Amino acid sequence: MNRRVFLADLGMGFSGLALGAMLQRDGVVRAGGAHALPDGRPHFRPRAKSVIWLFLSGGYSHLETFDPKPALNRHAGKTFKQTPYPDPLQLPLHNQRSRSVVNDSINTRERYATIYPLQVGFRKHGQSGIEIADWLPHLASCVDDIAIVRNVWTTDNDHAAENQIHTGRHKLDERQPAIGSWTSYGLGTLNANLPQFVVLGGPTRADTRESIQGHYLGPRHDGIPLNLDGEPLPFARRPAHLLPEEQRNEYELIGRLNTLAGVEYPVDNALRARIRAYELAYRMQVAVPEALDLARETPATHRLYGLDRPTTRVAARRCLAARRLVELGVRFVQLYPSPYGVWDSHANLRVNHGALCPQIDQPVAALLKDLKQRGLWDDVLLVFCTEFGRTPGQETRGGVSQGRDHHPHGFSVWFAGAGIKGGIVHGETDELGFHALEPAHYVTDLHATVFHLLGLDPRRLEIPGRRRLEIDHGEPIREIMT
Amino acid sequence: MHISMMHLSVALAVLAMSSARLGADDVDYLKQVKPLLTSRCGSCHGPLAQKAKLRLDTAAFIKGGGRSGPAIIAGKSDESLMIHAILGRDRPRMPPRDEGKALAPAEIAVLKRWIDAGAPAPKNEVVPSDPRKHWAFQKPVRPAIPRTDDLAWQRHPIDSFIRVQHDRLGLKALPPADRATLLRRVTLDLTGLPPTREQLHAFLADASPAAFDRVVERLLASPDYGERWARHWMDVWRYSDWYGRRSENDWRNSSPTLWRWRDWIVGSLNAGRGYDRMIQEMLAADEIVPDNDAAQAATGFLVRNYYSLNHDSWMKDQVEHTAKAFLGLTLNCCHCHDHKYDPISQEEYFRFRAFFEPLGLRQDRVPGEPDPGPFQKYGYGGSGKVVTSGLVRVMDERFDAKTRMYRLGNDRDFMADRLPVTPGAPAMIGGDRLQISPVMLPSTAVYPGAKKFIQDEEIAAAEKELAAARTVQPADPSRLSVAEARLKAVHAVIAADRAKYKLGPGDAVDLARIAARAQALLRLSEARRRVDQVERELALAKGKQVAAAIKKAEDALATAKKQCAAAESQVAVPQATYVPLSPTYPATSTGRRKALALWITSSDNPLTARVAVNHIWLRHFGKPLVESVFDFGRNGKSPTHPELLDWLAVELMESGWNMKRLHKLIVTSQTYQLQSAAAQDDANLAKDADDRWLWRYPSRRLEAEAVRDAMLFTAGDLDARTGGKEIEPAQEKSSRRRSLYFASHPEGGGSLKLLEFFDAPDPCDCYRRAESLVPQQALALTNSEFTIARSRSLADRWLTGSQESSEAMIVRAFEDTLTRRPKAEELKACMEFLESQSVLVAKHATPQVARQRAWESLARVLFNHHEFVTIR
Repeated sequence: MNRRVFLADLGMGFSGLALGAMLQRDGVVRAGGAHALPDGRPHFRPRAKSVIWLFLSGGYSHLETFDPKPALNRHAGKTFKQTPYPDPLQLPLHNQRSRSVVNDSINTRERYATIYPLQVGFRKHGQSGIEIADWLPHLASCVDDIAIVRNVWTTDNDHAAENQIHTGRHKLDERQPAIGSWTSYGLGTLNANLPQFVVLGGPTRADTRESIQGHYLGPRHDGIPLNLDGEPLPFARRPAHLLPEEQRNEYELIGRLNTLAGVEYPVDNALRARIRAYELAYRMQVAVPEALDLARETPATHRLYGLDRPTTRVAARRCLAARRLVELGVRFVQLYPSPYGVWDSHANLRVNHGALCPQIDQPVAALLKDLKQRGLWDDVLLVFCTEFGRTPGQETRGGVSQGRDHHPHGFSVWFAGAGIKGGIVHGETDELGFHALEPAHYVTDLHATVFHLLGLDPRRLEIPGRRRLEIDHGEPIREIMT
Repeated sequence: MHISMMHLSVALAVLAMSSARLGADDVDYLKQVKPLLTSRCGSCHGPLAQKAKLRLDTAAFIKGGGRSGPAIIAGKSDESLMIHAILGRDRPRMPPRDEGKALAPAEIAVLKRWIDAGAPAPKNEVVPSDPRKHWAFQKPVRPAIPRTDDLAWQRHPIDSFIRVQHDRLGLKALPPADRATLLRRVTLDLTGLPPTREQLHAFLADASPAAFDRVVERLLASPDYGERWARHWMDVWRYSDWYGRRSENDWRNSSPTLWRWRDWIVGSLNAGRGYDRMIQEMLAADEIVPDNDAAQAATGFLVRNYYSLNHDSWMKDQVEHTAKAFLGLTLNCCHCHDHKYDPISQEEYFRFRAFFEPLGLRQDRVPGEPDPGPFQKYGYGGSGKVVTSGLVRVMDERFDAKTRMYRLGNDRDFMADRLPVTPGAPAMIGGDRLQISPVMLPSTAVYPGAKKFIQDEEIAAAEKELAAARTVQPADPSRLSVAEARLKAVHAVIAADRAKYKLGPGDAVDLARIAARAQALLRLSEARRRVDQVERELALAKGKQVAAAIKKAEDALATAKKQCAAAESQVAVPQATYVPLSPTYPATSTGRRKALALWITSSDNPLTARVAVNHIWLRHFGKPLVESVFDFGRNGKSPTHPELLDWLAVELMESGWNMKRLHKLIVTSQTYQLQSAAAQDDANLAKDADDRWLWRYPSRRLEAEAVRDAMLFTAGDLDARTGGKEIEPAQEKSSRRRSLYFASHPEGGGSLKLLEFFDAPDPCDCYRRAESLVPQQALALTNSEFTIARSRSLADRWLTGSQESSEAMIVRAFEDTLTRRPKAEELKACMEFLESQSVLVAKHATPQVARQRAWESLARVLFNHHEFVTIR
């Protein structure tokens, strides 16, 4: 059956459940010409219904969080050449896995060859005995629920890598839609009264918006930033001077006049779709503020996340809001627990990470615990990541000290929740924590893992005329899946 | 394109696996073997290329083989060369590693089973034709206008072409739209603003047959036309205001003066400049009209792709978007390899890039604006300073830059065995025979300081300062001597410049010495003045007896005296050179872009006019004649009406590429004027539900900018000033100017929030607007402050001094917003609504306030009416 005719024939009693997605796809039909569009159903049996993607901007040190390297302490102050290990700067991998946005001819970023010791202690935790940095005690208590991936790499050695981990493409390549946008495009929504791809806490920098943009999938698949303070969603609040009933009357008259126009235009699908869109909009106006109303949660829950403490409050509110949103059927929540670039510890890494870890440790651990206790564990996939790691060598550029520079060659992320094995470590970097060892994972392997657990085959989401490469699709990391 | 191939190979693999259970006989050549070979081997062994003299696109070719002999031996897969090559057994693996992954085992199994089964294939397999014969690569020839029996459809060429297709398909066009609908349609279409109520009444009262023509003439002559259609072309030409890190005022992409290009586009359209001329100036104004300052803004088309951190990135975008915008070619596909569909090689990609390789930027002074100084190049770790005066434009400056080919899109992996390439366009459409000759630039382009306006402004500024110095009280002798020296120096520099560039009399060497001395005297008088000033400061400090201030002034005095001494010694030693009024630029340009521009706009180019006509048609009908608007190649879509496309393309070229004429031709056709409303049981629906064949006018939603502009205009709030620097979205509340004047760039805040939900263009890629319908549109149009303000203004217009009945006012409200009278039921619904809103609000406010609020409500409702945001 022609879907457009189907849409036109929908009665007024339609539940609105999948309607948002359908209306949006209607837009895609008009935009890109006729081709097979996703029908909102997964391609194969999904193991996760929704995703919370935690992104820590600036590049946290893999060496001081999830990938301890005692060799750095043993060889502190030496150059790579003075260690018993092969010099990582001389390996061909070094050039393969870094590509500067700035023309090499004018890029003077140095290579740091003096090994910098670990800035934090590590202890084993849980049944699995996985080592976690002492800065993350709450997460350490959840270690048996997470799967750490220690051999991820990317190619941009500057902060456009933040976009790269979300789109899979280096800044100098043709752009691609963000992972949240593909999810929105491929699966539609479970709750038409809420946006399907929500962003909390970011991106706070204008030039990092690519991380939430649908690009050629169209703006309707852009992530919608929801604000926890003030107006939650653009235009979603009735103007203060209008009475509720006054506005309801307006919506009713809009519907009535458009329906009257339908007599003259009986086969105008856009008109019918607009009538439905207004019904939906009216409901969304109520649903979004309700979804973000954290006051509806118990004091115990507030304490669990750390809403009661200034240090943890910001991240706690975002994590709790994320749980409420996935509970209500939002597909993809992209959550920035901390502001743009703060993990970028060129200098004084110990002070930087020592202060930032406590801000996110309890809220993120609480999210894990809360999802479990509410029976959402098997429905929601969690990803915890950053744009790159930090150099094993000490940074000396521009007179800075006690820090590490950007490091695309190897870094750590973790997964948890639906379809993920708990208490495992997958992959490794070399003894100095420099190169991710093969078979290593380019950032699109993270995407492939997410899509696989959502039951999506990204190759079946192709848009004619938009070239995607093999590397854009990546390979799911099957070793960490249940 | 590549996508569909990958798709195919996945599908094939699945097919292959499922058929593994079947017998060998079940391998279907056409369904399994041929698509596999096409997708994995076709680009080197097919119609485009026959490496090793081997083609694999028919079974006969496969059996015939190439240089190494037959590719297969039927019945013996193990002895077949093709299988050996695929497995890399005793010979390099096919496809080569650079070209793609190895075939999957399941795919190889299919090929083997097919060979073992005797390689069965249909007898009548067609040999694919020569790709160079593709329709779009042939020069368009004006076709004869087809004859139809229906005279009403024979009057206008467009209608004849459309009608013959209706006849062929058994479609019956709907009647023409009513006059009010037509007026609204054409007014929105040509100007992006709705007609006024007065225009509606005048048009309805004008029974003359020429009434519609007069409306079209009026609209095309209005400056609103340029603003409307400039926005369309800005989509295609990727207009973007500067970005990089806009929030930190760090310019990396495009330029802070790009808005001058936007104004140039608006102005060019309104002035009726030919499309060919526009392309020529956008690609090469600096070479074609180097002495025309205003035209240099056209090179914004090139400046837009500038990226300070990476020249390769600029070149890559320039190649891709020049080819897509003007030629409808996906040249970007051959960045990494020969084109998989069109006969264009990777080398030709780089040859196309070579047209742009010498590009650099410069920043020219503009009359009435401060001197922006020389263009600042990027230094690593620095940030691009945003200078908004002057004009950033292109020039050729990298004369030694070689265009070297690199592998697989990796700009660090050069092909050592390939010589640098020379400029050229694809040979398949004659682009390899361009004549390129260097352009000698006029002196004012080489040395802008020789421009009369700069000299005049410099003199005027010096004279103004001198007049001020003469009259200042109390008298300031040192200021006066500086001012006198400055005016003398300016005159001396101008005289020297004029001699140097042979624009004036005198010996250039002598005059240069005189100018140098005048400048040295100026510096000396400045230094003396500084000494005077510091001495006064020292006296003041001593009077106040502040030790630190005394020390500071003493130090300053020592420095000033030292400078004064230096200036004196400079005066004593004659100098041969002086500080000029502007930088000096290369005296020649390579002429590469001029050659490219002339080739693109030549009437022999088969693509340019067709691509342009398609873009224009798309924006009149909401659907193009060729669906793939930036790909007219073999992987693009075929035209629905090929003869019409060619007829219009030739018409455009022969009219001197006159776009206004083409608009008029289109909107005066009967096809354009058809009604859009069809009955539920219309017989056409069964045959052509999507209206591909235009049996009715396809209604569509207004673009984002037009939604906002139409609201401003209807409310009487539009600020109709034109042009100027982009307006920051933060000024959304205070500025009521047309939307195209607001900043548009890919970063946050790069478009008005209100517009985003209505598919505002992606400034990096928008050959065609999306048209979505999402609930956020409803929220934006009901809750935004913008809507509240517009409905208030509109209600004020209705209520101010009005003595009319409510019924009459509702009629007026409909005419204002929807360009038509309400029907009886609509009138009734609105009356009831006004009544109930008044009663409701009166519980909380005075009856006057309640009445005002009710009418504001009605205004808001009508702004949200489907028809308000729709071209019917």
